[in-house]
Amino acid sequence: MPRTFGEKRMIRSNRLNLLVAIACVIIAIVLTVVLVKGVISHAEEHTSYVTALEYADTIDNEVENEVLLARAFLLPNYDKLATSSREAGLLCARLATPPDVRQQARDPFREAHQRYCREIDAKLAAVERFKVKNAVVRNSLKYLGTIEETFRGLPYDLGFQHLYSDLLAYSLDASADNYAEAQHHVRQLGHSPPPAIQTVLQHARLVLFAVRERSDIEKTIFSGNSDKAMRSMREIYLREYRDQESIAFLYRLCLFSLTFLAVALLLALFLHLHSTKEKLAALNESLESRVAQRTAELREALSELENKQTQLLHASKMSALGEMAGGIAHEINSPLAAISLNAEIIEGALPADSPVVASARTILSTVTRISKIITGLRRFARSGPKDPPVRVSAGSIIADSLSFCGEKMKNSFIDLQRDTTGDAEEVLCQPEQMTQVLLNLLNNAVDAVSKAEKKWVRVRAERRENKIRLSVEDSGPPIPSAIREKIMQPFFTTKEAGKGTGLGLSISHGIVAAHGGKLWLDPQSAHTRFVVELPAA
Amino acid sequence: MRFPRQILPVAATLLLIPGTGCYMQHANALGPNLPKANIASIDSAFAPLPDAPNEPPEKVALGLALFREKRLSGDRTIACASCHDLNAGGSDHVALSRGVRGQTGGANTPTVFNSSLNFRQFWDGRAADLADQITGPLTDPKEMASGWDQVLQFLRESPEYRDRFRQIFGEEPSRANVTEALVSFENSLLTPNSPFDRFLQGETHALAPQQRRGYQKFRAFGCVACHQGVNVGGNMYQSLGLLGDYFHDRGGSFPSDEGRFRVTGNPVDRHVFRVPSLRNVALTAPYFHDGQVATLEQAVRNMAKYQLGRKLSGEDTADIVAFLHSLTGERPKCLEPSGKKE
Repeated sequence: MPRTFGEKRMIRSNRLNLLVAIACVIIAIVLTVVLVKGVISHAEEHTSYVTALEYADTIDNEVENEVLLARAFLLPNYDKLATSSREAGLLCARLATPPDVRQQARDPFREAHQRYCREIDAKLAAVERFKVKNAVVRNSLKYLGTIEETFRGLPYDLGFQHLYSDLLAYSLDASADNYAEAQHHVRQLGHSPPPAIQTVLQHARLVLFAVRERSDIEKTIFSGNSDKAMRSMREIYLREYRDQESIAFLYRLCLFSLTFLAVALLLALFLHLHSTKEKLAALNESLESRVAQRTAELREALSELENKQTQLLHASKMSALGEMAGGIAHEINSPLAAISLNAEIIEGALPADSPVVASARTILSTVTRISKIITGLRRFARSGPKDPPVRVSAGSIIADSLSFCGEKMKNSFIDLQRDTTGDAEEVLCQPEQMTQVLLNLLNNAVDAVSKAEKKWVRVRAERRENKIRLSVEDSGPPIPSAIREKIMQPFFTTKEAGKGTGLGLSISHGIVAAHGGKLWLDPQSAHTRFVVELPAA
Repeated sequence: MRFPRQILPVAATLLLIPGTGCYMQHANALGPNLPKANIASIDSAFAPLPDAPNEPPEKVALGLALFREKRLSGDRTIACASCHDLNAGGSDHVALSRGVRGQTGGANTPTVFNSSLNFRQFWDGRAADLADQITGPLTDPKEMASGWDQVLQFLRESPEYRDRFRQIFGEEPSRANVTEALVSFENSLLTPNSPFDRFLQGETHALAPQQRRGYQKFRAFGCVACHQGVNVGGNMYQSLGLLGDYFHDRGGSFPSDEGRFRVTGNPVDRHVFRVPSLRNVALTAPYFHDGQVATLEQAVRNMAKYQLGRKLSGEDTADIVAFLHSLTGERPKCLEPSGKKE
């Protein structure tokens, strides 16, 4: 079935909509991926930075712990201390670039970071100096520890023991009291001259000096300045992050609303499109059926118009013919009466065996025929009585007609096949005229079968929707197609000369048409079947 | 009618997009791959040498070629390897090495072996790491007297080097990738499996009885206070001459005598040096920053005198020297013929 213009346009617009929708989905996916990636990488940067902050703090603490371990006379752990120091230095540089700090927070942060780096640098430098002094303290105390035995039993033993324990105490707690104690014993021993004691004193002074220095260095290391700097730096960063997050929250809330709106919009749009499409389809369908209906109506109207035109033409022809025939009949009737009278006179005046009598009789019969023709003409010409139509049954019309020709059929041995199924149907008509029509048809049938082998005539009435059909069929040969179209014309006859007037069918046709019905020769029939169709009552 | 109908889905989708993204809240953001805190073993002052890092052989070979390349110097006579003799102990055997035009340097050449394990570079620790260190001798007017511009110009004009750099780094020679090649070579210069390392790993008889006695004394006398860690030194600074004036006794003066003071300008850092690693010490005579001590015995005695305030007996010295010999490791693998790709 070919597509209408509207359908084509709808399909094209549907395809366009589909393409637009697919493009939208692709754009949406790509943009979403990009955005999600952005959000994730931003979150990653933040987490990574916070982790680095935490880690820097941990390393800072670790450095302090290692210093404490080294100081507490455990085995040297300077490899570890060196590694931690290097990491602390590297982390300092890394912390310089936090992700996404706004202009307003940038300067305070930079200041805090610089302070932190200064503190860390100072701390690491102090740690290096601590290592130097700590090694000195360790070594000298170790020296004194190994030399201890050589003083056993000597006069300096007690003084040395006092000095050694004082130095140990001082190395563990660099208080002024411990220093004074140790210094006191150094002085006491200092009065003794032996060279071994000189070395002891050298070490003792070294320890005293180094511990004091180490204690100053430790003050720097454990000042907690780097911790403070780290805290303030972290606070600035986290406050900035929180501020940004709260702004982002509002932003996301807006976006959420917009998203919601957009989804609703999209849904409404699709629903609207869908319903429009359905409406359009329904409209299209009803339009088609209406067009078909209208076309059928138009076709019917056209054929009716054509019929009317034919009828009109026929009627005008008939009326002209009728008028003429009426005039002729009137003019001919008087001379014909004179001829008939004179022929009767001649017949009466002559003996019965005179050949002239036969001629007179021929004249008389001819005149009778002429008058018959004229009566027929007059009937044809007459527009018919204007009596109002009455309801009669089809059966009564058929019965009336058969009453005129039933005897004739019996005499000619014609089998009348009477189908009475539709006899009860009623029509609105002038019964005399309709009887005339049927009688015409029956007479034609009787004439037609007169020479046939099997002689029968079938008469029936039937209902077709709101029409009643009366049909007369005979066993005579079918009417040749060459003359079918002419049979309704006046004066056309196939009967032998003198037998038919050629007016029966055309009169009948006129009568039926005047009743709003139709008279036709059924072309489907194998025999000859005339059908009269009248509107049902 | 048609226009808005098609623009609406677009508009709606565009509105919809930014919203969806934001709900993928910080999804499982992975933290940075930070190194884990190294739990140092505190039960030992020493640790065996680790395996050489897994550097790409082509890069190491390129680093070796650069290390041996005399044309990198100002007058094309001195390579890194001229002073850091890879066939000796990673240094030369002169007190002060000679640079371009026969000039003498300021300090004794430290060995390049295991140098990646030192906590800082140079006697005064002025370079944080090897990458930092490279520029020093390269541009020192008394050493190689060159410069990065000159080095890069030479390498870019040399078809052989240009091809190798392109092959390995996919780019022209640059300061960054020249440094990278040299550092990856130097990182590979570890001397593993010394008897001492094997001893640390539980092979008690890797050290001879005398060496074991020396090890005991090394610890007992306090040497270990400074010479400890994986590199047996090289992880701290120390002042030279704690218990005696080394510089007065030696006489004369050397430009490097000031030590870290030249870097920090802080008077407390005068005569403070990076404690050198004792690995392969038997191969790296002469000793100290001035290279004025020719023998290991003398160096040990000096250290005892000036740093520990002890006078060592001949036996003690011999024992400690014997122990120090156990610190000589295998030649770096990348210098073996099979390891070379030339």
